[in-house]
Amino acid sequence: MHAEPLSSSFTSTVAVNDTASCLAAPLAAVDAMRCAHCALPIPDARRGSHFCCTGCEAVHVLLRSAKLDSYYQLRDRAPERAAAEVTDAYQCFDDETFVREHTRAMGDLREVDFYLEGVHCYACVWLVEKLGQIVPGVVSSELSFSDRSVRVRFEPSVTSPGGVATGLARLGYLPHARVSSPEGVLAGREDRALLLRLGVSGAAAGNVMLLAFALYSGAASDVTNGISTLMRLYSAVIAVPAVLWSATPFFRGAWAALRTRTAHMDLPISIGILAGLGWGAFNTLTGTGEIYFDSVCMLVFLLLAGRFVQLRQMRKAQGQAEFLLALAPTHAERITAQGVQRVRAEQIVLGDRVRVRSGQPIPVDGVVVAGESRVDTALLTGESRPRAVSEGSKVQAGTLNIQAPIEVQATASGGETKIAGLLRSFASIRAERSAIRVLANRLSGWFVVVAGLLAVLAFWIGARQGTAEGMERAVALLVVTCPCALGLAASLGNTLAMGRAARHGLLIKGGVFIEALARPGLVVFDKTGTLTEGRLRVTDRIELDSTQRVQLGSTLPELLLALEADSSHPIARAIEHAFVAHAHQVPVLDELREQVGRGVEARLSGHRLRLGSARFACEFADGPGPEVERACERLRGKGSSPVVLSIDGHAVYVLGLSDPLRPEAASTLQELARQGYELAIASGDDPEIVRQIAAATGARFRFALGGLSPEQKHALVQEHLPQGAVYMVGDGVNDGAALAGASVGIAVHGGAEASLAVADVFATRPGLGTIADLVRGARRTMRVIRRNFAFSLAYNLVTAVLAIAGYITPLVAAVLMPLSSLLIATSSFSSTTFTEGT
Amino acid sequence: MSVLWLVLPLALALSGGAVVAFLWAARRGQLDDLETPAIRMLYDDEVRKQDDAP
Repeated sequence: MHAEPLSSSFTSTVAVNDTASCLAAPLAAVDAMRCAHCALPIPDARRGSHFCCTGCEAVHVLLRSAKLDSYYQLRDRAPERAAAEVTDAYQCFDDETFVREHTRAMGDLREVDFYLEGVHCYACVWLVEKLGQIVPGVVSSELSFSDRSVRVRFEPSVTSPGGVATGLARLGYLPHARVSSPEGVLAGREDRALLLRLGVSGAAAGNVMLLAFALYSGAASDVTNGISTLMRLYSAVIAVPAVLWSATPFFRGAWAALRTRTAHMDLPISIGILAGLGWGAFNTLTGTGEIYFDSVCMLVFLLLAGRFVQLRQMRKAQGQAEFLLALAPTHAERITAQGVQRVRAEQIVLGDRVRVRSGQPIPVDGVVVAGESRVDTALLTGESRPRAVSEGSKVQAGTLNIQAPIEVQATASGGETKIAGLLRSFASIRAERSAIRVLANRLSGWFVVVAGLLAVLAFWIGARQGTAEGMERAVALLVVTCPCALGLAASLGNTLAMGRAARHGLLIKGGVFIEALARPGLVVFDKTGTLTEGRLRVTDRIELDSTQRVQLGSTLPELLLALEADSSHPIARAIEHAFVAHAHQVPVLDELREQVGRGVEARLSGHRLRLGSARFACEFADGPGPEVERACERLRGKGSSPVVLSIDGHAVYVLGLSDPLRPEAASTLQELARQGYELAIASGDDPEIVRQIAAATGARFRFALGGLSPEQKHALVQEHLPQGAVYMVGDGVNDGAALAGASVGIAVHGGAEASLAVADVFATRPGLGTIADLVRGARRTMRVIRRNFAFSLAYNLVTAVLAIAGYITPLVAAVLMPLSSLLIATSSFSSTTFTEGT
Repeated sequence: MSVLWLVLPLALALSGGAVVAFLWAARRGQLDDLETPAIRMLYDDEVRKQDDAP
C-alpha cells in the first residue's frame, strides 16, 4: 500500500525507518527537528524519525488509517506533550462492579463518562467525537469542552468500557473514570431545577408583559370591560402558578428565616411577591383595582437569572479543580498468593500489597515494604526533585514511582486517600460566608420592618380615599420596594469580576475572596517559583587552580553535561541550558550514579568524577580545601548556591546556581505596599538567599524567613491571622497547607496541580503582575458593589415616597423596577474591574 | 375585538407548548452544555468514506 499525500499544505518526503512505513508521514511540514504530532523536539536517539516517540507515531498512523488526518488542519496548535504509549491498561474498566456502578443503560446501549487528558482545542472535540470510526460498537461520543469529559454510548455486545477507553487512549487522550459523587449528583439536580424555574418564569414574564401592555394601552383608550377582564384573568392564570412554582427557593428561604428568626434577603422578596400575587388575584376576581402580575413575574425572572449566572460561574471554577484531581491513578497491580492481579484502584483494601512498576503512578496511600526507588511527588507537592523511598517510607496515591519497582502495603485506597480527600473538599459547595452577604441579610431584616411600617403608613394615608385605595398603596409599596437591587448589587459585581478575571487568566473561586482581598492585610510570598522564576540558572563559573587537573580529553563543559546526562534534576537542567552550546563531544561515563541529595558521580578513564556539594565532591581528598571554601563563600554571599566539580576528589570547577528574581517582582511589591498591604516572605530555601532576595526587591518586609518546612509556613500564617487578614501567594511547592489556611490562598502558575486546586485564587498566567492586577481588581470591584448598594437604597427611598403618595400604578411599577436593576447592571458593566490595561 | 376570544387561548396554547418543549429539553440535559454545540456547528461533514483497500 502506498502512502497518500496528507494534503496540499504539507510537503511530501520519504519516511525513514518507520515501522508502519507505508502509512507514516510524508509530513516534513514546518520543522524537521520537532515531532510532527506533538511539536516537542525529537530526541537524538530518534533522529531521522518524524516523531518524538512511538506514542505520537502510533496516534498519527491511527489517524491516517482512519482518514481522520483533517485533525492536523483543524487544530490551532500542537499539544506539546508526547502521546503516551497505550498498553492494555484499560481492561479493568470491564470489571463487573465498574460496569454496574458507573455505566448506565440507555435502551439497548450503555453509556459511560470519562474525563480526558489532553483536550485543548476544537480539533480535539472533532476528533473525540469521531471515536466511532476507531472503535466499532461506539454509537456516539459527545465531548463537553468546558469540563473535558466525554459521554460515550456503545453497544455492549460489540465493545465495552475498556474498549472505549483504549480507543480514546489510542487517539491520544488519556481517559480517567468520571465517577459521580453524591454531592455532585445533588448539585446537578439543583442546577437543573434552577434552570427549569428560570425558563418558566421567563416565559411567564414575557407573556404577562404582553397582556399588561394591552391593558396599559386599553386604560388609555376605552376598551370594553369584557376584554379587560379577560386579559386580567389570563394574566392571573399564567402568573400565579408560574410564580408560585418558580419562586419556591425564595419562599423556602423566607420560611427558614422566619423559623429561625434570622434576617434574610428572601424574606422581603417573598413578602413582595405574595402581596403582589395575592392582591392581584383578589382584584381580578372582584373586577376592580390594579394588578401587578407583570412586575412580580419580572422580578422573579431577574432574581433567578442572577442566581443562575452566579451558580454557573462557581461551577466552572469547581469543575476545573475536580478535573485536576480526577487525574489520580485508576489501576493497581495487587499481589496475591496466585500472582499479580490487575484491578481498579478502588478495589484495593487495607493491608493489600500492591506492586508498582517504575514509571507507574502509585495507586494507594501506603508504606513501602520492598524495594528502593525514587518517587516524584509533583502532583501533590509540586516538588520537581524526586524523593528517595525505601522500606518503611510512606507514599501517597497519585505520586509517580520513577526508578525501580517497589511493593507497597496499602493504608488507604480509593476514597480514603489524601488525593481523594482533596477532591471531596471541592465537590461540596463552599458556603458563602461572605461579609457582604451578611451585611445584605442584616439590611434585609431592617428592610422588612421599615417596609412594613411604610406599608401601614401608605394604607393609612390612602385609606382617606377608601379602603381599596389604601390597600392599593400598601401593596404597591411592598411590590416596588423589593430589595432585588440589594440582592443583585453584590452578586452581579462579583460575578462580573470573576468572569472578567477568568478571561485574563485569574481564576477566582468565589466572590467572598474578592471582598476579602480588597481589605489591606499581610501578603506572604513564597520565594521559589513565586518571587523568583523557579528555574535554576548557572550564574557564576569559577575555574580553580588547574595545576592539579588531570587531562581527561574533554573540556569542562563536556564533562558537566556528561555527568548530568541522566538526571532530571533542576540543577541538571540549568547546567544543560548553560553549556549545551559549548560542548561538541560529550563523553559517555562509566558507573554514572546519582546520590540523591548529595550529587552525581562517575568514572572516566579510571578517574573518579564528582559533581555536587563541596563536601560531597571533595570527600575523598580530605574535604574541600581553603580555595574551594573561599569560592563557595563568595558565591553564597551573592545569593548563589555553589556546586563543585571534582576529579579524584580535587575540585576543579565551582559553579554558582541561582534562581533569578522575576523582573516584575520589585514593581509588584511596591504597588502592593502603596495600596496599603504589608509584605513578607516565607520560604523553604536557605535563609541567607531569602535575605538576599528580600534586599534585591527593595521593598520593606514584616519578615523574610527561610528554611521553613511546610508545617512551619502554615504555623506562621496561623500566627499572624489574629492580627489581620493574611494572604498567601505560592506555587504549591510545599506550601499547600499554608495556602489553605490563609484568608485567601493565591496559587501562581507553574505549581503543583493538586495545590492549585486547593487555592482560592489561581493565576494561570506566569508572572507576578497578576497579583497586583488581582488586588487592584478586587478593590475596584468592592467600590462598584458599594456604589450599587447606594443606588439600591436611593431607589427604594424614592419609590417608597412615590407609593405613599399614590403615584405608583402598575405601569409605573413595571417601568421603575427593571430600571433599578438596569442601573445596577450598567454601573457594574461599565466599571473597569479586571479589564485589560487596568 | 371579539377575535381576542379566539386569539388569546391560541396564544396561550402556543406559549404553553414552548414552555413544555423547554422543560422537556432541559430535563433531557440538552441545555447543560452550552459551549460545545457552538463548536460542533463549525465542522464540515466528511465526504470521504473508509477505504476498503488493504
